[in-house]
Amino acid sequence: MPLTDPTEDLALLTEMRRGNAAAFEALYRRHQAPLYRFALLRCGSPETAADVVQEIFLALLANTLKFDPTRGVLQGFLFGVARNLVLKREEAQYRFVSTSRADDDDSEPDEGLVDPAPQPPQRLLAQQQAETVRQALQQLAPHYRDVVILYEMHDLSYVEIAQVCNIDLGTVRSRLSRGRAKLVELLQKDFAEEAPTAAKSHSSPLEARL
Amino acid sequence: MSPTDPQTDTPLTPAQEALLDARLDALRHATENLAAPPRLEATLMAAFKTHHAKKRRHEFFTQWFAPGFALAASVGMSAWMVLAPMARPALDMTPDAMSLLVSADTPFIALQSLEQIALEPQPRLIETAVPRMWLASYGVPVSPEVAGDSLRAEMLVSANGQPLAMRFLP
Repeated sequence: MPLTDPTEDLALLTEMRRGNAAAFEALYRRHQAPLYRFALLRCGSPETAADVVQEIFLALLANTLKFDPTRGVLQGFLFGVARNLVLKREEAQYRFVSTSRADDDDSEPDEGLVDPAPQPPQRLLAQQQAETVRQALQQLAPHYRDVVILYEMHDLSYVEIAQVCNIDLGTVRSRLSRGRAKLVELLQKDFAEEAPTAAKSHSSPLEARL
Repeated sequence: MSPTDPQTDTPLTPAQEALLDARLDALRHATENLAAPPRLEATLMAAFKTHHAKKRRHEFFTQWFAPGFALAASVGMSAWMVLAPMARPALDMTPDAMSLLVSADTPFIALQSLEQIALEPQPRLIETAVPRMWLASYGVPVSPEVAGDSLRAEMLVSANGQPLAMRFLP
C-alpha cells in the first residue's frame, strides 16, 4: 500500500527533471520522512539516516538512479535505494559476514547472522517501550530487520517488500515470520511481565494484511 | 495472510502476537513524526538550484553557441591552412622566406607548420611538375582521363630539400 500517489510521484519527477524546483521540493517532502525513519530504524544512527536521505535525493537530482515506472512505484524504489545505501555503509563499517547465505537459503539457522560488531545502544526515542522495541529491532539480523521494518512500520505488502529487497515472496514470508519470532524472543522479558493481561484483550490484527 | 510460515516456523501464540503488536504500535507512534533534519531540505534545494543553473548554461551554450563556434573554427582553420603562411609576417620569419612568400601572385598551401617554415634558414622556391591527382587531395575534382597528366607548381623547399609550401601554376 503506497503512502503516496504513484501517478503524482511520476508527474513530480518529470517536472523536477525539467528544472522545476517546486516539484523537487514536493517530492522531497512526500518521501523524506518515511525514508529517514526506515534508515534510522535500519541503522540506528540519526546522522547516517540523514546522510542516506541526502544521498538519495542528490542521486535523484543528478538523474543517476535508474527508476523504471513499469517495474514498481517510486516509493518502493526509493526504499530499495535506501536499503542498499545502508548495506553499503554497514559493509564498509563492519566487514559483514555475507548475508548472501541466508538470502539464498532461509532454512539455515539464523543465530550467526546478527551483526557481528554491534554498536553500543544509543537512546533515540523518549518513550521507553518504543525505545526497547527499537533496540530489539536493532539486534535482528539485517535481512530480517529490513522485512520487519518495511512490513510493520511502513505497511508495505509482501510484493512490495519482495521488490525492495530483491527477494521472492516465500522468502519475504519466512523472513518476516522469523524476524517477528526473534523479536518476541528479544522482548521476552517484557512479554513475561505483560502477557497474561494483554492476551485477554487482543487478537492478531496481522491476519487481515496483504 | 499471517506472516508465519507454517512449514518452517512455529507460529506465535495469540498472546505473543498481541503483545508484539502492542510494542510495535508504541514504536509506530513514537516514530511517526520523525523526519530528516530541516537543514537537509535547505541543502538539497541549494544543490538543485546549482545543478539546474549549470544544466541551463550548458544547454544554452550547446543550443546557441556551439554550432557557431564549430563553424567559425572550421572556417578559421581552413583559412589558416591556405593563407596563414603569407598573411602573418609578424611572426619571426627570415627575410628570404618572407620575400619569397610575399612576392607570390597566388596563395601557397602550407605543407609544414608556419613556425617550421618561418624558422627555415635557407628556403628556396623551385618550379616543378606534379601529378594532376594531387589536386584531388586538396578537394579539387579531377577527371580520370587527365588524372595522369602533370601540373606546373612552385614549391618552397628547405635547404635540405624538404617541401615547406606549394602552389599550383596555371
